[in-house]
Amino acid sequence: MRILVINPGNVSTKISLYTNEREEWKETIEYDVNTIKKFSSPMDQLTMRLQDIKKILKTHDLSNVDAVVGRGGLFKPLLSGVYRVNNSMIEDIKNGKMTGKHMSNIGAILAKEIGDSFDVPSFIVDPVSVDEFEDVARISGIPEIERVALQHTLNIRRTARLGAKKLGVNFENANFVVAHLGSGISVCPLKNGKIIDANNAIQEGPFSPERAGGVPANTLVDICFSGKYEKKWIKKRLVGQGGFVAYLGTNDLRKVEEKINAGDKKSKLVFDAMIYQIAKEIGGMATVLEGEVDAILLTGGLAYSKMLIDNLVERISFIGPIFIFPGENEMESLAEGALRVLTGKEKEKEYV
Amino acid sequence: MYKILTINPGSTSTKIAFFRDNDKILEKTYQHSTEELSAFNRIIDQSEFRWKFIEDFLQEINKVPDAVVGRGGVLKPLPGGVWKVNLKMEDDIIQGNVQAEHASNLGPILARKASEKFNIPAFIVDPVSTDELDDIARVTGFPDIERKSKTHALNVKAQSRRYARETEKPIEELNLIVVHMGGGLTVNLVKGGKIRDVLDTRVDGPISPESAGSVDIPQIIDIAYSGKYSKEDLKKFWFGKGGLVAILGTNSVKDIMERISTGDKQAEFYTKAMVYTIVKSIGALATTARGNINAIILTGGVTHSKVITDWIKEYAESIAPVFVYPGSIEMEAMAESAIMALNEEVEAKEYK
Repeated sequence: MRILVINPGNVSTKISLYTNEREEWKETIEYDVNTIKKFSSPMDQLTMRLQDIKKILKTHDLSNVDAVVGRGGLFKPLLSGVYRVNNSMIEDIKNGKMTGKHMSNIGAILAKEIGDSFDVPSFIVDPVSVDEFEDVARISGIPEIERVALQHTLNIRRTARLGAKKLGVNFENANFVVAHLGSGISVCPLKNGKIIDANNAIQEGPFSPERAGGVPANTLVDICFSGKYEKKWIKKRLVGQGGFVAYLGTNDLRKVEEKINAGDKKSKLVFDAMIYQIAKEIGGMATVLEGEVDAILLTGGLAYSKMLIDNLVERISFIGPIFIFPGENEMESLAEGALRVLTGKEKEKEYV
Repeated sequence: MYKILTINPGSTSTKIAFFRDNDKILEKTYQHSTEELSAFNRIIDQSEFRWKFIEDFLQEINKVPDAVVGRGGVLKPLPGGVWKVNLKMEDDIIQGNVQAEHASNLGPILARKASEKFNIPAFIVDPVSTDELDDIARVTGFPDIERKSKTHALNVKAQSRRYARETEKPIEELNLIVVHMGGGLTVNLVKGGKIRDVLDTRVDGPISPESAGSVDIPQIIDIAYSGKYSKEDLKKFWFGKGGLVAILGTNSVKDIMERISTGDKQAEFYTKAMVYTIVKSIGALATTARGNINAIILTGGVTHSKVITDWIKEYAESIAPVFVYPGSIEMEAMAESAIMALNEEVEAKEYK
């Protein structure tokens, strides 16, 4: 099977061709930040992005492509799985019937445009807005606020599949706590393949190299009403300028580790505190599974750090076996999803 | 043999007890109506009014105590243990050098009055502002906010000592998770007798009968800046108007249990949602002791509901054995600690 993968990010579009699980080639179209800033929404960039993709595709042999898969966006809440891109999906994107604005929102449109031109099906896989929460997880202590399911679904479900393979069990019959450790941190309990809870990387849970995570809400209200801060400043301080950036002036874990190795106490405290909070989140999510955790799976870019992993593992190893799948490979995850459907291993879902 | 007078001023009552060593001879609770209390500007101004009830009590018991203990207030952050009430402490309370105006701040004031009357030592024990957090537990992802400790230290520590006594283990060697469920709700990690981390429903912890706990951070910022709420109204979600009362219209767990027993599915669902957040907090704190938890202790008024404690057990027993110590033993805890100080088993600390 030959699968073309299209992944629009904030300042780039990545394109790969897979033959089954093997990546044949990969191209990245880079954009200048100032060019991107001129557009007010991802949809406005559609024509530009599409033209640039088509230019790249002309330079490759694309005979016998079986399907095109795009990165899924912030759709309305959906069940997990592989969705064929259809007209109602396109309509919802074009009409803004989405949970939020994100460049990945146009992934489905790009996939369909290219797929239609080859006369092959187009898909998206496990979008961020997958919602398989148990109802009890939706409740907060303020009726106006509902806990929302948003997480790094694509990598989390792929990691869970890898974990199941390692344990020799069926993914649909296993319980995991998966921690995606990146610039944002998602910790999710998976019960029989379903993501039943999540900290939502910007709303609750541990801080990350650039996000503040779940700060004491009641105290934050005082800050909001203090008159000293603009709303915009606070929001920036929570996402992008929080965590390591706020304390240490960098979101680069390697730089923080260098400082720790040179004996910097502040760096050490903030680094340890982040891991302390990640461990707490994992412990909380393990309890949701009533302790029946087949394994804890650690993934994402931060999982490359031995210093971080060693410290974290020491805190959580009592919960269950731990496997580490560092980094994330969105292109591969997308290709694999499409491949499962094309080979009949998984049924595609219809977007309605 | 020591005779101990204990005074516990609550928001709408004054509880007074007399002990002969650890035996309670007499305990009385004097209720105060909102009208009576509304005559006073500051809580501190109620001291003469409350003192009259102590005079009545002393007349009835007709014995001279060897020491008096007041409930320790929301003073500045202090290590736990027994503190001598001195002029400096009284000055700090009167001048507002405390973290909050709270009825328990009358404890040291009233104890000092009794100590002057009989010329006996006055103490407070494990005040609400007991702060023994590990440094790592103080860090949030938002440098402007530090995690602080305000907790049910008196009861939490007394129940921890009770567990140590009953299992004949030295408290220095125990790691306990103590959940105090009353009007407030705190989940405490007690390591070697010290409260090293706490998740508090009034700040960032679980949902409770009348408080919201942690909530989605971006949403609370939007609400804070929406102009729909005054600061005072929004803060009420953490002080009396959030959690179960916001949804079910009552903070009485007894009433809620009655509704559940007569088939009220909504009451059952939201109470389970509260339990869900409590067990997540327990699981989170378990990681801070790397899973080495000797026992989980459930205490406070809400533990009279077997339904709730059974639900908690379902999840939490995978972490450690769960014990239910119903109610609160604040009066006993104050007497016990005062006797330890008089016997010089513990040092009575000098407040500075």
